[in-house]
Amino acid sequence: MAAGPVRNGPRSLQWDASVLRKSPPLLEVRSLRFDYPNHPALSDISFTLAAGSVTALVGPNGAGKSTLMRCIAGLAEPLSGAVYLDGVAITDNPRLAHRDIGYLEDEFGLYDELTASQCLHYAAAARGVTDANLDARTDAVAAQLDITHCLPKRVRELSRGQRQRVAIGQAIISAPKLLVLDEPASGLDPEARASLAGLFRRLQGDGITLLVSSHILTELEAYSTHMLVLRAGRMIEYRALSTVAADAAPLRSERRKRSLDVVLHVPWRDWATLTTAGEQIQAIAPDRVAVTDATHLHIEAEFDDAGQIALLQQLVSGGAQVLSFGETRQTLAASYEQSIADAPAAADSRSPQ
Amino acid sequence: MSMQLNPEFRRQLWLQISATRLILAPVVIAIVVALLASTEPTASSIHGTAWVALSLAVLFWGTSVVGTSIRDEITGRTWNQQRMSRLTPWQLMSGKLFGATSYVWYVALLCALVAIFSGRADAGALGSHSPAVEYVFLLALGLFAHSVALMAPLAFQSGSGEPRVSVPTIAVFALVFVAFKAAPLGLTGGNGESVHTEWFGMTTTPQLLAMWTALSLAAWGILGAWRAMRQALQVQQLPWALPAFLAFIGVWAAGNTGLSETSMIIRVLIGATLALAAAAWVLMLWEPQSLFTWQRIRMHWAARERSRAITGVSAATSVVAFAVVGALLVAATTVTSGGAEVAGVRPAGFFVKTAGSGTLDVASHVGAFLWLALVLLRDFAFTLLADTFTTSPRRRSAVILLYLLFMYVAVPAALQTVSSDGSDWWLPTQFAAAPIILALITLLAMVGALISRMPRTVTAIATKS
Repeated sequence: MAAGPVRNGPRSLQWDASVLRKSPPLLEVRSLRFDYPNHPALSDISFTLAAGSVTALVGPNGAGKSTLMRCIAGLAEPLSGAVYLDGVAITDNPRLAHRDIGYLEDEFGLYDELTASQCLHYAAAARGVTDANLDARTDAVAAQLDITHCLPKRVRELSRGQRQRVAIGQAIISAPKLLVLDEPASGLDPEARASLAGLFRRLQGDGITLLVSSHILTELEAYSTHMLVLRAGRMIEYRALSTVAADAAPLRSERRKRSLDVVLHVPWRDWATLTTAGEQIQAIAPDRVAVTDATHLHIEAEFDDAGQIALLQQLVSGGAQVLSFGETRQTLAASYEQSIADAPAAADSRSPQ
Repeated sequence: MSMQLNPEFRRQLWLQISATRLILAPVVIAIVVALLASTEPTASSIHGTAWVALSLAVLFWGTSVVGTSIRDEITGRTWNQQRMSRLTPWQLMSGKLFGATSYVWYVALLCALVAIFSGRADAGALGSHSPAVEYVFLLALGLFAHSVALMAPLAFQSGSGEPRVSVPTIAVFALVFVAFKAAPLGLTGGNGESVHTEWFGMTTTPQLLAMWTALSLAAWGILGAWRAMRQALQVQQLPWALPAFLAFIGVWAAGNTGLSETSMIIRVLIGATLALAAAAWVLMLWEPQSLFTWQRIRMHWAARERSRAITGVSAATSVVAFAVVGALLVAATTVTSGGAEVAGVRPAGFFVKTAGSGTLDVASHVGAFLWLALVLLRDFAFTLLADTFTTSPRRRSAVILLYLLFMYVAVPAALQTVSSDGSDWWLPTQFAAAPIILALITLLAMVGALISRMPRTVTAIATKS
């Protein structure tokens, strides 16, 4: 299942969405199957991740998220299927692929008796950074993660949030193309989680593709461009997340189902009686206009970009005083719940063994 | 990169070496020597104490430190980061092997200096051989113990493929203790007598034989640790090293046992085969042989990834395979030589009772090794079968142990109660077709049961691929 077009909202990202839209897939997972003895963990998982994307991997406990991440990181060998990172088959050549992957386990470990600086030095040297560049690379990563002041301290003296950053620093010290993070915000307080979200946006801005699992959907929502839903070892859905407003990308000609929210200055009951725009909306989507309250419309219908623009023009020319007009941003939690609700049969059935 | 210090070795030095520790060791040793000199002012007592301290440091302290180096990575959740690094298996292995023990070796060096200088003052304590032999022996045995301790958690993996954390270092301690006690070194009080021993017809001293044996074991240990690290770092490799090591053990033992009247070829083959067979049963009992692993091997084989399929086989599988091949080679060599290779001796006496003259004829000899090949295959099939109906490694081992007791104790005993030579129908105590035929029948029955228990997924996956 390939991801649909990716759109980004103005609040979330600092990169150019059109670049992401044109990017070739960095990671490709094909028909992945992984079995634990007497227990299938993953069945027929296929998807691709575009370079520069941030994918939220969500699903209930036991869905297979960590197993999938371990397969992608080349730490677990699947029974069948393949994983490619930038053209390199991870399943066949994990050692080569590891050069471009950073991986942080859900319960990561650090060398508590070393200083943060020594940890980063070791990680850098172990990942092929030459001695001449060790200090520069360590300083750069520390600055990137805002832990420069932690470098002289022993790791056991650091807070959990700081340890988390040191661990991420180890994972990105060799500038990987893909960063795989399993429950990175687990155990962090809200402030540290918010800080981590900002960090992930910066990493994404630096060109790193991220695959992040978490149970805290609101946290993932802050930086994710895609959502991959797993349940009982099966992929329920993988798609791009919709955002509040369309970006400044060129017009797209394909028609697709869109959800629009319209906020009016004049209450609906006054306007609807006298405008042709109201009739126009009814003609486009006779059954899919919901009036949330007197000044809010919710429209669901198939449009292309030109149709969406024409609708706005008609509303305005018909006399509607439009305060805001744009696609509904569906929350990650709502998307997840909808995905689970839409695919109960697939989710609840395991392949017969 | 080649000019860089091994990052893992450097990390271990950060952990092990500090100015305080460097100063502390000689101070403590100096205090102990001073106390000894004041209470018992003889060089031999100081030498003896220093030698014991050196032995304890190298053999037990060092082994303990290395044994925990992998375990700490696993329990500390840092192991996967190392697996994903660009460190080569050799860098990671040598970094842990020599880095984790760096402080131990430092203390050992200080003890050795005390022992050497105090020993020179009391030449009688050195025995008839060069003291260098003792130190080389100790160094080599220490390296062997360290590498086995490093290898053990990696080589014996749990069913999920993760290294076992609970491999007891105490087993390595026991191994080292036995080897150390058995070594004919006369370490501190040699009587000066000249003793000689023979090994494959070569005359040497027991001390030199022990030293060269320890050096060989150290080389095998380092090779094993390196290969275990390669496996942990997902480098594909053919499973030849463990069978080769076992064959080496068998051959070494054959050179020093009562097979002196047979030819060199048959002694080597028998020694290697018996060592492989003994290890095969131990591994069958110890190592999980899940069909899950065989699913993967079968898929690779079906996809024409032959080398990848072979690299996926377990240690028990490879050892059983080599043991079976060895047994068949012994039988074939005996037949092709017309019995000349084994005439007048009882090379299979390890597990075959001999009648009358204490010798076996050619047919008995061939039959015994054919039987050995069949029962190895049969028992291996049972271990696979046990994996289909047991749910935990402990229960699996218990089931297999019961099976082995039943096959090799209960059944012969029951047959013996029926008839005075009843067990001859089951075990090849002298040549008869019955044990071979029964072994073949039970093997076929076991394979049939295994096929019937094989999950449908195996077939389904193989068909799909």
